Amino acid sequence: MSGALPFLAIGLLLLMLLSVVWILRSSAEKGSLSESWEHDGKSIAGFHLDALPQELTERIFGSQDWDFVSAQGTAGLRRLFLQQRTALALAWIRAARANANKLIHTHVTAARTSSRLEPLVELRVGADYLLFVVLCQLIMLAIWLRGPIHLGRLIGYTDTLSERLHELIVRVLPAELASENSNRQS
Amino acid sequence: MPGRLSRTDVQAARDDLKNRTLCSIGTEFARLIYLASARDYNTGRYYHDGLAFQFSEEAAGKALAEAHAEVFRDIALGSLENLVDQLQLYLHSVGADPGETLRAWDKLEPYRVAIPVDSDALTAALFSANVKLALAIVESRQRSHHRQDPQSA
Repeated sequence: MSGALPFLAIGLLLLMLLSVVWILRSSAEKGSLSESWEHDGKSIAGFHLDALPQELTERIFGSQDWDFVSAQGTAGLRRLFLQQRTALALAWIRAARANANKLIHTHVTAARTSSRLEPLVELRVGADYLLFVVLCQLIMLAIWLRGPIHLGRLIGYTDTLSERLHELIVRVLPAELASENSNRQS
Repeated sequence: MPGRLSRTDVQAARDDLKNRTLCSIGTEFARLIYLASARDYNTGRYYHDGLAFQFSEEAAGKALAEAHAEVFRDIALGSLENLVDQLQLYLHSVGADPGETLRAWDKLEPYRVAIPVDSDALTAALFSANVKLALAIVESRQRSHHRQDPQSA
């Protein structure tokens, strides 16, 4: 049994690498930017990322409102609150993923035409993006199982990772795109 | 004059709006409803005769839109507890029977028109969800108040 472990590890590693390649390729194929990128300079400058405000994230996943509703004492109100916040939390995850997809799609499109690719940076972008996608799936599972409250640490980590991905990509983007997206909403 | 709108004009119009009009409106929620009501729902433009007379129609419109977005953001991203207090005060200030107003708000959802046109979908969804919940909390408080003091019904 123990002899099969190295093969299993190699298999997993290959699977992860394939996932990175597949995710990067499928992100690049989505949307219309890839078509306009090489042909139309104006479309490049039109790219803009709508980051999620930090206060919104804290409000949706924070426990302040839950503590208030719990103190009201009725089960109906608590149920209504959890239903609403679950829907909002899932919408937050979808919006965060859509932002990351948009970002990676722009990055892949820019990388295709770039003459000075840095393999290490590309690997880091791919790994960060993959980790971000996995975390989003984990959060969705956690929301379904436990509800959106008390996920603060996981959300904080995901938000930091999304910010890191954003900074990393903006750093290697062409100047006209980077300047439009250098300021994330706080 | 179209195309000649300066930031200073808009800021002056905003200050005037804040000092003369908004400060006389008691709660932030009432200010939100007031600012939303200054908007033409067909065009999305804001109108205020006094401000337009003193500055320009464009500066007045921009000042109203900015003030609306700011008040909305404060309420939508603020605590639910604060929203419940604000809503309770607002519903009592309307003058009609609070129970009747609550039922109308629950069914007609007039608060949806208080959302600025440029606000992001998730913040708008949080606002609507919170107002719905705040209405349920106010209603539940009223019911328990009536149970304790049946003569007040």
